[in-house]
Amino acid sequence: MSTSTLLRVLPAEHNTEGVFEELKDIQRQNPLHYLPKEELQRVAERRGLHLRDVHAIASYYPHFHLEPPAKVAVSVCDDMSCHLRGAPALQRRLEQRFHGASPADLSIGNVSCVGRCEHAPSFVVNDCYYDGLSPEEAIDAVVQTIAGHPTSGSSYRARAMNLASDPYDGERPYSVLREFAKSRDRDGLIAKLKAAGLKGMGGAGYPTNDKWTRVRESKSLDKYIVCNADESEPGTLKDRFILTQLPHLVIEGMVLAGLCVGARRGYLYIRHEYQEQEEILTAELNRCAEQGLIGEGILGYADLSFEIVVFVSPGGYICGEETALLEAIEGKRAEPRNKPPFVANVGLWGKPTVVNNVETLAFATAIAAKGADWWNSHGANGFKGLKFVGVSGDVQKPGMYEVPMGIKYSDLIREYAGGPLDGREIIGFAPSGPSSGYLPASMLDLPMDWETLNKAKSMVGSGAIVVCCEGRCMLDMALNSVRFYRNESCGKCVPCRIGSQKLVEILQRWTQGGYKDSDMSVVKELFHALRQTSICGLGQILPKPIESVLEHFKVEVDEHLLNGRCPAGVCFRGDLP
Amino acid sequence: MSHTGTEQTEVRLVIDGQSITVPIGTTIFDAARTHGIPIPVLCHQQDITPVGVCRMCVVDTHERAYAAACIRKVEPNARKAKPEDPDLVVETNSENVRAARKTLLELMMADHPTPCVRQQQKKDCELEGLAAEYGATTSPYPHRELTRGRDTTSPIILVDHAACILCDRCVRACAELRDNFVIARQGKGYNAGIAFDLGKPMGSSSCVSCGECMYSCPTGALTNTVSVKHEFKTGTPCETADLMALDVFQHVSGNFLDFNKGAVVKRHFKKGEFFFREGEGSSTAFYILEGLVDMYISTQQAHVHTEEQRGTFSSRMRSKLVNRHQHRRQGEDMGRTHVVVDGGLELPCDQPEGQRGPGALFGEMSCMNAHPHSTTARAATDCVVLEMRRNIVDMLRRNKTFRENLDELYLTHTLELHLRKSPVFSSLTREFIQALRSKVRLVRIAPGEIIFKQGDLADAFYLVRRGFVKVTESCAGGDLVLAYLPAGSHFGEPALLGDGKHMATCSALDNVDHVDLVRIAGEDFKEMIRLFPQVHAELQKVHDEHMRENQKRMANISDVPLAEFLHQGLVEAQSLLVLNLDNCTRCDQCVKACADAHDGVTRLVRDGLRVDNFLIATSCRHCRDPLCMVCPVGAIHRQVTLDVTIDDTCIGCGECAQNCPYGNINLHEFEVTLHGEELAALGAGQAHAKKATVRKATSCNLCNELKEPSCVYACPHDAAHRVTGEEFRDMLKK
Ligand SMILES: Cc1cc2nc3c(=O)[nH]c(=O)nc-3n(C[C@H](O)[C@H](O)[C@H](O)COP(=O)(O)O)c2cc1C
Ligand code: SF4
Ligand code: SF4
Ligand code: SF4
Ligand code: FES
Ligand code: FES
Repeated sequence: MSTSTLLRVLPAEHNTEGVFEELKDIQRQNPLHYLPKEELQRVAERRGLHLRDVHAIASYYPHFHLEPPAKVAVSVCDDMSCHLRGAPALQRRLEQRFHGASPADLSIGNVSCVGRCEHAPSFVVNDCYYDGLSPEEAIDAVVQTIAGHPTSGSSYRARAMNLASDPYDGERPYSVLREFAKSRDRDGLIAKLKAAGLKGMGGAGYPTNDKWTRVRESKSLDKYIVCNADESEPGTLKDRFILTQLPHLVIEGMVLAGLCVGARRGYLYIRHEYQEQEEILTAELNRCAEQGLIGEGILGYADLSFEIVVFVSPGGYICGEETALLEAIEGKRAEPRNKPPFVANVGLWGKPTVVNNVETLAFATAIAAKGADWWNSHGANGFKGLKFVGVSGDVQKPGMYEVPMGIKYSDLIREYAGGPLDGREIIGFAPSGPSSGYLPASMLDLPMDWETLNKAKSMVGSGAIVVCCEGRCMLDMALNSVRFYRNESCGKCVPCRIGSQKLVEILQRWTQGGYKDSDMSVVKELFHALRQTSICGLGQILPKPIESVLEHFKVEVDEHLLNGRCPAGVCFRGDLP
Repeated sequence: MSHTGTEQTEVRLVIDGQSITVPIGTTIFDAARTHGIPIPVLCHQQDITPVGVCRMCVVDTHERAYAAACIRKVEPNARKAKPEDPDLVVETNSENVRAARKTLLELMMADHPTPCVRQQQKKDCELEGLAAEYGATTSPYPHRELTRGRDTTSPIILVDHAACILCDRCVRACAELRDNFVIARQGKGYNAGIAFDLGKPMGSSSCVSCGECMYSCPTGALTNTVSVKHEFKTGTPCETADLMALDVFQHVSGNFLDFNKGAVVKRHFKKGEFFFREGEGSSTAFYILEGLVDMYISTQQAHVHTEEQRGTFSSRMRSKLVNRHQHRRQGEDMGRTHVVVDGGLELPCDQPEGQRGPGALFGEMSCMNAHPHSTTARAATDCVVLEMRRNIVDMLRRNKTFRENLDELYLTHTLELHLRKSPVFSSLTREFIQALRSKVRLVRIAPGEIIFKQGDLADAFYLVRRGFVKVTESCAGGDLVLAYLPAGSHFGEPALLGDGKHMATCSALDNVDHVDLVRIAGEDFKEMIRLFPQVHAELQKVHDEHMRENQKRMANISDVPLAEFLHQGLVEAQSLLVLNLDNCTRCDQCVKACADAHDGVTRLVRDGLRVDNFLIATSCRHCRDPLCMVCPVGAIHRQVTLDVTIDDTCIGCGECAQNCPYGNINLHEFEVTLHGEELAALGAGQAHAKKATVRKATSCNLCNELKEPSCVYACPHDAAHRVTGEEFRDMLKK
């Protein structure tokens, strides 16, 4: 939203609409790249907001600076995949090299996973993303930026490839939408999704047909569709891939959902690190508008209207939680809401809303095009359907793969990702980033199936498979994951805000030889409180990484706690952050 | 319950085995409460919207996770097996639920400064209370290392961020109960906290001091600043309801007024009666309900000044009493054209008289910043006034309409005076000032708050409306104070005229009152100097002069151990008692003279910091930035010249002595003869006794009733001198 659109008078309840774009503009244009108080005051005045409200949001998102940042700000990702592939060494090397630089000129810090996990380690210099560089190459990139000639970072472009889930074989005909505009067969569409058993691919696995039905049944005049492309969990790569390769399926899925449930407006909520995908989407949306596929009177039918707004996230993993995401669209602090009420009843601006993941919507289009039988004809080991997974960590070919549901993790890692690194032994893996916890190598033969993994107290989730080989310390990995949650906690509720910090401190102590006998019962109580009393999934899932490691890697953990020894030689060096 | 045909309006739930039917949408907490089932809460309060953030009220609803009872509304359960089944089954007090609550309390207690201020004051910290109930007073979790500390800028509310549990009660109280919208959350995750406006100190935020947040806060994060009660001898105490009926108390919490009962009295003054006289100190102020009040400056205050006679290295420093108009000490009186007095009046120096009527507040400056009254106030007609204590004054001053009126008064009357009386701006046309009026912004800065930092990009030009602005420059070794700018001066222009970056840091003087500024945006300033080249030239001249002075100063200090100098606070000193050890024979005449001058109690100790061959005696330095001025009853005053004195209203609490980093204030016991009333106030219960001892703080007053400080006068060896920090530095150089 450009600043000029702000001149129109915003209705009182919408006076935070577009506020993030306005703040970003101010920060971009400010010579010191921050938001001076005077500017915030002007924003408040122009919008009729209270000063406290502007400050509350500006101070919430790490992307906004209330004080001038260093001229060259380097942020290294040290989450799961990057942590496995050299981030700590990279950071140490940078710190050594630039030791003594004035804080106003150069800062070296951390950033949470930026979604480039397959090319780990990644880092950001000012607003430019780099990945897959050696420490010396990284130093060069920083030196170039200091000298005022930043080299361009990594880029991510569409490649020609055959994907089983693409019903159009590389074309973009929007045939399902054209057909639906004529038939208006809403029941048929929902029945297909149901028959295919399409589940939410954002992690929770909730049946998609159910969500659509609930919103469709609501009598509200205003309804919304939201596509969740916030993808911020370490190891998760799929949405970026889909937005690059199959943007038309996502857009078509949103329009179908909109027309099916009776919504006239959709938001595509994309994380701000995905600038290239934002461009791809904007280009595709323009194409759609030219062809009359979106907007007022779709394909000439006056009664069919649906517009799509690309909403760039102001940043933070918590924005992916659906109610926090809605708060962000409303221009507030992205703090999750208490549920119930669920978004299907009370969603964006209080209206019924469908929130679906990118992959879910793309699959919905594919299923609508080719039918449930086609969908169910895919799959392995007796399970049905397709799934996009990202494989990262200790494998030969980290990357994005389209795989049949039900495939064994061992097969997946070997056949698609080239097997473990340098012929090393796999000791553990996370089927879906930190939120799935870590499973031992003995569970590699589990099929990728929702039920099966739930029984193993894990989950298929968003398919962020992270592999750990020998030489890795699983207690260290658990600490790493819990730290990620601590960093990303919104701070709204007590258990997660304070508990995450205390848990990190306790685990840090464990990895440095400070275990106390009373600790175990304390952390168990803490797990219970986090799971049961946290407002949102982040706090509830927060104990998972350490709980799973305590269960599956007991021998290694006990070595730390009881014998003061890290079998992998990772901990007890006193130099971990 | 009606399931058949008609619309369902009620739901049935079973709480701890008890069957309860309530209207759809009732919260679990309300359902339980109306049936006498207790559920502990922290973030929830009856009269504000529930937010469900503390999670204390969690109950087991046999769902995936516990529900927060305060916010969870009960809806009909479409999936229940049989129609006669309850819609929700709730356990409020199971072992697991209690265990989870205990953990929550332990987590909060780990970071809680126990006992917090509220617990110390009234023993009613809700967190500590619940923790005791759940056996969670000692937390197994590590304590928080870095906290955001305290914000003491509001005269009525003490903010201790360390005790805040982010329950959002204050946030909602301020907005929902009071329409004030000052407080919100700031930051994220473990670093989240509460903030005022754009992260301002509470004292300089738009807070109207209504006190509602403090009332709502369950912990010691927001508490009433201890104010020593001033008992009014005359007047009728006011009822809360009567006060609330006045416009100026509109946004104020009734609870808070109740709490401060007796802090306001109604008084009648006959025409010609005095409210106070110039030079007196007091800790109350007046609000006019009816009648007119004359305010004027009559006498010219005098003060002690120590002056160096030009000459040799050990030239004698001479102290004498000088008239305010004769004397110009550097950094004050500069281009001073008008005097800011109480009641929002700014009187021209050459004709210092004015009048205020109903709706005006006066006497508030002395009450708030411990200066003696700068004017005399006398009833011009018969008057009805409210006399009030400091906390109420603050509340009043912050009232939105009241403040707008004052600002309006300033903009229409005084801004022009302010600008036109200064030679620098004399060429501005009336039209231009008129136009400027709508563009300037009036800003308020809390004591100690930074206005801008050295190196910041300049975006405005400022006029000082009231208070003092401290200008510091940081150099190797520490910060150096360049100047103290009084009301009427201006700053910020060097950067706008020069390279765009501020060359010094400007902040409000610590520990005293707020500073009010007029902010003229950079663009408007540039427009001004473009249209009025003469103003530009004048400013440039002043600017060049400053630059020269600064360069000289920097050259001077480069060869003294500056860090040490700054560290000892010497540069802050306006009057150091320096003994030249080459001359001093340790005869102690100075000490004896001091004792003689002050009822036999010396106010100086002939010992202290040694620098080269000088001894800096332990005796008040009259800092420009006095850390001691924290007196709860306002007994420490600063003269117009910024000299610091303690008057007889001292209650001997010792707060000032504790705060003076140099040990220059001492507490002494005095024998006094007391009158019945005072005795009763002391609670001595010995009304028959006439003599009593009282403790008072004493410090050097520069013998302000004598011609010269006695210590200097008495020294037979020309060893004792009173000098400023800068002068001392120059002495060292030689
Ligand atoms: C902390 C947290 C982060 C989440 N992040 C994402 C995300 O980045 N992308 C996403 O699609 N879903 C995310 N989710 C899940 C969403 O809340 C929501 O369930 C999902 O978008 C629904 O879409 P689906 O039904 O298509 O999966 C997250 C949930 C939590 C608790
Ligand atoms: S669980 Fe954590 S992230 Fe979720 S609402 Fe609570 S504090 Fe925020
Ligand atoms: S005192 Fe009143 S106005 Fe000030 S912050 Fe508290 S509730 Fe808000
Ligand atoms: S200051 Fe008090 S009322 Fe406000 S959030 Fe903190 S604990 Fe709650
Ligand atoms: S980019 Fe580092 S873990 Fe994802
Ligand atoms: S009292 Fe219900 S969550 Fe705080």
